[in-house]
Amino acid sequence: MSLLNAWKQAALTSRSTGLKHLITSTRLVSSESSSTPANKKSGEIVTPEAPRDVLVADVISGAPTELRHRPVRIYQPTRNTMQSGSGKSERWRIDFDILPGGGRWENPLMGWASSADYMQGTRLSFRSKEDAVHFAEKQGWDYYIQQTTVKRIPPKNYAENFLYRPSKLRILRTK
Amino acid sequence: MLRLVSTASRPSSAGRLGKTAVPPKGRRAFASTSAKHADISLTVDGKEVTVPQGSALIQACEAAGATIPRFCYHDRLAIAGNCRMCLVEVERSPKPVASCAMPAMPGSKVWTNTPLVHEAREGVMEFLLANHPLDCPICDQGGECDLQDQSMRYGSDRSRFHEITGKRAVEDKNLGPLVKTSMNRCIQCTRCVRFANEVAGVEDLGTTGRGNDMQIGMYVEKTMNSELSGNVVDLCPVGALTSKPYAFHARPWELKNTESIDVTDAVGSNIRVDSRGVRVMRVQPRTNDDVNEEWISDKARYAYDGLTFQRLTAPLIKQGDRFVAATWEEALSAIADGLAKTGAQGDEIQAIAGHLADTESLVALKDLINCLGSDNLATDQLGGTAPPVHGVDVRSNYLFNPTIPGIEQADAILLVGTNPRHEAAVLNSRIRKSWLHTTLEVGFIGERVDTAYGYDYLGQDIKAVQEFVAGKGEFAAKFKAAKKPLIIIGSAISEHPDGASVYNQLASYVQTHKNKLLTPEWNGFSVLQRAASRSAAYDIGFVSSAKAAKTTPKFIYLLNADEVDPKSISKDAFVVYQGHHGDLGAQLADVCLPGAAYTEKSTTWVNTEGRAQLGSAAVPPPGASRDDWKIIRALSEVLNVQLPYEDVLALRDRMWEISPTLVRYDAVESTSPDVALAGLKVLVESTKKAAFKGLPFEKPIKNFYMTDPISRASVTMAQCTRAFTGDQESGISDEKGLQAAFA
Amino acid sequence: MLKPTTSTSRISRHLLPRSTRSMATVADPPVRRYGGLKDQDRIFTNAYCRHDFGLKGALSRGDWHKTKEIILKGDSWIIQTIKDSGLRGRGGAGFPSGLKWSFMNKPGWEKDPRPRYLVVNADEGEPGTCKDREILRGDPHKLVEGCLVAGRAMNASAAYIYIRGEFIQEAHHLEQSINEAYKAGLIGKNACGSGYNFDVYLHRGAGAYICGEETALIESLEGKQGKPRLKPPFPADVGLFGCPTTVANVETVAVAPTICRRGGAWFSSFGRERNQGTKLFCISGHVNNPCVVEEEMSIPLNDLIEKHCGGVIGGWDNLLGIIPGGSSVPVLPKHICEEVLMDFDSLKDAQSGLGTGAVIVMDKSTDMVAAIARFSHFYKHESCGQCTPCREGTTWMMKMMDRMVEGRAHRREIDMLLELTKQVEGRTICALGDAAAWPIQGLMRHFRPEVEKRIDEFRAKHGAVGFGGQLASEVDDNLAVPDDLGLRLPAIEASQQQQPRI
Repeated sequence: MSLLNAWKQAALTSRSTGLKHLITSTRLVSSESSSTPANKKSGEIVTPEAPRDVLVADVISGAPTELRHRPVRIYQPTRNTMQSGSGKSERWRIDFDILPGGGRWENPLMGWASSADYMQGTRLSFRSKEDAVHFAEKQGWDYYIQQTTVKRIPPKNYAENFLYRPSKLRILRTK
Repeated sequence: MLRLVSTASRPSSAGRLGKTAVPPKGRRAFASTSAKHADISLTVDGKEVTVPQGSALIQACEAAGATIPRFCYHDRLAIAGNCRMCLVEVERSPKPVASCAMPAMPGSKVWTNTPLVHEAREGVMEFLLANHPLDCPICDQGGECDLQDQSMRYGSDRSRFHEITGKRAVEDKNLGPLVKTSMNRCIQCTRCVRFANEVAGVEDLGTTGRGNDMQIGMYVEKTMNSELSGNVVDLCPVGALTSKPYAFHARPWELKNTESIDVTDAVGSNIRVDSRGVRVMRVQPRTNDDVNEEWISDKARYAYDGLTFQRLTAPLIKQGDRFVAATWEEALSAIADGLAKTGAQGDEIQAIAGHLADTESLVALKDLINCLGSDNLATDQLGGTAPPVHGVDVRSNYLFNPTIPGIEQADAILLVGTNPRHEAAVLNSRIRKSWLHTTLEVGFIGERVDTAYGYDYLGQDIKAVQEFVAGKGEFAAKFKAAKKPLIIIGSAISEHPDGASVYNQLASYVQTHKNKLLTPEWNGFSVLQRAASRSAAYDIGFVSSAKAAKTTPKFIYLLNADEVDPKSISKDAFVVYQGHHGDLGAQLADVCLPGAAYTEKSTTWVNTEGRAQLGSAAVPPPGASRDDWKIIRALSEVLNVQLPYEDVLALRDRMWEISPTLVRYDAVESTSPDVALAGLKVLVESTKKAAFKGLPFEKPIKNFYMTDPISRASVTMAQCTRAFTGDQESGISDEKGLQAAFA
Repeated sequence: MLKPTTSTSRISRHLLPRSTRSMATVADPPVRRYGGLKDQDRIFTNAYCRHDFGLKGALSRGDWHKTKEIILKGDSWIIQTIKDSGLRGRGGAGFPSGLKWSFMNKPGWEKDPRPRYLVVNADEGEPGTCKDREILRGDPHKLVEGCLVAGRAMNASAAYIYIRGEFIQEAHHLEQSINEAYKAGLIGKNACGSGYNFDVYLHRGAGAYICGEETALIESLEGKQGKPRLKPPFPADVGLFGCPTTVANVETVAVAPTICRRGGAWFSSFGRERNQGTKLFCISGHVNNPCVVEEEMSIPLNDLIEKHCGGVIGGWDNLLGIIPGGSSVPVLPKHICEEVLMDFDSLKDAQSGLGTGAVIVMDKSTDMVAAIARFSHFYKHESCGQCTPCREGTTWMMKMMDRMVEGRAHRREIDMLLELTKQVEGRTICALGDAAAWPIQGLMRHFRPEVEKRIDEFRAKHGAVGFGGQLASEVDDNLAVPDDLGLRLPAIEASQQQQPRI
């Protein structure tokens, strides 16, 4: 996956210049974004793209700087296996990894869940991956994209239940 | 190709099931697939749509973006056609047609949204609701119930069913400690029965009775003994089958879903961890056709309650015969002191990687130990201190090379010393699927087990392997005739005294039959790992050198290692245990460092195929426990060998330097046949002189439900152990004592 | 019992065209009256098992006569003969048999390596129907020979006879005749010396009505639960054990050899166009002489009862209604019974059906509502429970019919019941849902006043009745009872239907 390169780049930047958070042009840029050909094999290493001009919101948004230390995940939620419907699996989501350490605790008296992490309930939803990537770039968030798995459902046929098999019977149907 | 609604915008798949199987490596050009892939086009709601020949009408409707309500139809089960909810109108058909059972015909015109269709579906919905209890408020399915959802669209606002005789009442069935039944709610969609028949191989779950008295249940009052039984909870479109451990605990809308990776076996099933607050409430499968389709094993699904018991929440230092809680500084300096006191030098410093160690911490630990001048890296298994017989220089020597979906292409499988049903339950269901739908032949060498499919039993020890290699026996002939034969060697073989000899035999067999077993399309030599960390450990070279293996370690670092033999640790050695449970390893330790469990850290896992997948943290680690790699990083500073990475990204850079495959997520890098052959050559050379004793191969997992510290701490798994294995001893709560208390 | 055919002369049959005709006669073309089958035209000559049913007796009655020649004529000849004869399936649906059999011989069938099967449906369980058992008991060799002939026509390698489990004696007779036929070389390897190999197997069912359904029967034969399959795939493509299969009724198969011997034209000379042939009718119920009799198709229902059954008990005027084709077809009231002909089309026009030809006669002593409610019980009991509308619908309909018998219902519920039958009809996998719905529809079509009368009487006696049979008297008005029970609806709303409000 290409984020490796991006990470590498980001890591190099942070080590060499120490200006990681100011140099927005070296922010993580995913090769999976729209500009690369779609048929590129995931896992292939690509050379980093030319930096893109992104209007950076984090300079002026007043968001706490800690946010920029937390990589976000951009992904498409899979279908809930409890249900037949595929709702909510069309949109792309950004969510934050939880804060390690004491970010959350249970209230010792009532057992309510408490949190010091103001992003723990935040879940951003986008129409497309590109939108999500753009937003994360704008916010100055490190992100990585979790690829959507390709669904492979073979053509299904009712007659297959009853087809002739010359070999020994291998299934017992108790329907 | 078939484009389903949810995948309309995604790259179309070139894969098929079984006979028209998935090309596992890369995408194959469309033209190279067989002529059976011809497409047909038809009109759905006035929209032209093209689907592969042989598709069901419901698939065509989905491809056209029409939503078809359904109860009995499921993508991964055989078609039943009995709920009648998916009725659509087809031109020149006087009656509405069940779209799931109707093949899509070229040129036909289908409507999914006409008054006739609505009237028919509303009628069916009324019938379904007639005998369905109105207990949604106390039903665990509430909020993710297909019947609820679809009755919002097709249900009437008031009932016409007021019969004085009342609704049907059905006795609840006992399906064991995992699946709770409430059979009044059953709508007889038979998804569970079909799952049991096809996927799980349970032939006792079925329907009895006729008409309205039809019931679903086990025929002979048994519990549903299958390692995949939890999946029927997902499949059930209503609340008839719900999860017993999860009963009345949470509502789906309260839960935070975190998509992650399962670690209870080496399949790397994709899971979704549903948590509320700081607790994991349940674990659900996540569909991924490359790995686990839509199933996960019961251990993956239900062992989560072990995450709350017996946790190490603070660093512990042994003082005398008891552990005393300490701060991180104290614990780390105690380790530094211990290391100095033992005077361990070079290879006397040993690190043992356990089953649940994540890749990041393995890399960090290896770097740390190497920095300390030692090569003594061991894995947590029998004979794990010695270099593994298969070597780790070539990946194909220890990975599941044909990939998990590739199993469906195999037409003959030889299982050697493995019981995939317990070592990789989801993978086993693939073998069963293939066995059901193709003419797959399975041969088996090892301790006899119930694999959920039939096999030719060849023997239980090296003699059977030798006979097979010599071509003796019926199965060897079948195997030779097969087009895509597959040898699956269990991970227990490398722990076996005869392991080297077995590898020698089979590797040379592959060499001689490389035209079939090792081609650019097919690599039929595979090792099935059973520990989530093992492939990664081999990938990063977490193995000792021959020289280091001979030294007696004075300082032992156990990273999640809970299977170690206490006798193998010398009395005067200083032992550090890092892990999340107070299990066996912690008992041996002088210092315990609390790490994070798999639901609490975002780390890399490499499954038995060599597929790297990234898990993510759902809940924070409890107490003072920390991410494992950070602990090792902190320890390195105390030991004055500071590791050069400060954040996880830098650590993953280091992983990339070791092997790029570790961070190429979700992809399987296949080994080229030439390299694989070279690997086999080395393997044959190194094991040439191996002697053998002829001991029988034993199954490595005696109790499927308890294989790691998490599942051993789980109450649910203890109940399963008692219910399914008949093992009274391993249960946590003492039922006999309880009975005595009542008496 | 066989009635002496004294009445044959009474009804003229015009089989031969008159050679001469006097010039002065301006007679209309005579209206053909059907019925009055002559003894020499009977196919089932031992239907009453008065003679030897074994091979010797069968040979004496002409069975196995020149079977070899028939077989040697080949599949297309047999199918053409059957097509010419106009034989329609005798199991109830009335599908043209020749056409059905020809589905087995699709172009290129020879290349198909799968075996091919003829399955004979002897699972006769329809209430009122008892024709097949007479064949099985008295003329089993007709069936065995029919298996061979029909099997040859569809190039089947074997025939399975699925016999109803309750038919003990019949199964024994059939078993005996199969063994005799094997021993005599009539079936088995080189059947009748024709060089054609053909096996006949007997399989005894376990007593489920639904196993008489074509695909459920196949499932049951395969050893699974008798639950119907959806079509497609049709059995001619994917049938028994996944092989091409044709399921045919006993009577259909058993008449085939005789048709082949006597010619399609002979068979088609009986009955009206598109409804040719002879048929076994079984008349039960309130007749003086209930019987199974072979008669010409298209015989008027009136004639059938008068001639063979000694009339309705208490005379024709005592007739309440007749179910003309077994329990699954709607009942016909007396005025329709007077004119209807016993064939597929005439009964279909009368909104009923020929079904299996099982005539159930009910005189005025019959509680018609209770009779139909009993059918509802039967279908509820026999529904396989596979598909939703039938599983839930039959139960619901039964519950409502039970109340209708008492009259414990609201008048509005009659229409609701009819709507339920419409929700079941045509929405199910097999025809059992239809069969459960039709009798109720027939009842409401012709006997609705009777049902309404009972409802009114019950209401007069017990006070207002709400939906679902809830009594207003049992409802505590102090409780917040939902108003959807119809307890406060006026008693009579029938006028609304006759005089729709504008």
